[in-house]
Amino acid sequence: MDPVTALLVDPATALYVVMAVALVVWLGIFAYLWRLDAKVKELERK
Amino acid sequence: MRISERVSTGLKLFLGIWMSGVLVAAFLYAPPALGLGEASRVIYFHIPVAWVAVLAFLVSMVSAIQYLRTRETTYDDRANVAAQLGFLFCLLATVTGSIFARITWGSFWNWDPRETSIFILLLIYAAYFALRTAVEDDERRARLAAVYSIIAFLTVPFLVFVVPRIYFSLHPEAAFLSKTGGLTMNRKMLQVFLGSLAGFTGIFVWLYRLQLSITRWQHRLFYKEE
Repeated sequence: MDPVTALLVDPATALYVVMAVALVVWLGIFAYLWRLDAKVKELERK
Repeated sequence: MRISERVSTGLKLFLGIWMSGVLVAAFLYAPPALGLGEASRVIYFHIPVAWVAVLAFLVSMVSAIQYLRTRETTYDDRANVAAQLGFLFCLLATVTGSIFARITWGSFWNWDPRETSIFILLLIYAAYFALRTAVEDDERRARLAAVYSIIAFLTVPFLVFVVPRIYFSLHPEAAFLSKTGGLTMNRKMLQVFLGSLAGFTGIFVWLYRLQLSITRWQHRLFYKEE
């Protein structure tokens, strides 16, 4: 197992890895919704 | 920018920060449930999305009743959008539950009463969308869909709350619910759980309003083309 994979699956760091992935997913969804919302508002203004 | 728009933008920004905080707290602040290990943290996502699914199906039914009373198409749109979101959140509850099942029971799917009942619920609402696409006439589609939505919601309390409790299930309610139905979580777990519940409800409200605006724009463009 290479050092990076070993670090990711290590029980001591796995919790932080899962949290980071969940945060990235949420921030991605949030950014997408924010842009979509802005575009709909722009359409309504026009 | 109008005041209402500023408030709306502020609330969305707050929701973004709030949910990020809930995510961090779910992993670093709340302790794992006794006997279920780290995988028990899934409750901060699994139960709130299941709650939002029930809420969305309820909104769909109420809008359907409103449509039958007033015959205004806006209520048909509301019922449809709420059902779409309900289906999405129900699917998320199924996926998160399935991941938990893999970790604790050793398999993603084993037709436990909980899994079977949520699968039937998904099928019922999938049929709602099939019905909507099968009828061409707008007025007839809206009327049939409204009646179906009301009947579909009548099954929700049975499939979500009653059936899984009648039969023996591996679903770990005992870790979070007492025999009388009260919550048995400790203070930290309860704080994160309620925070997540509020956050996911906020996400539902945002998605609902956004999807409703998009649906109205689709109608306007469709009638313009015609």
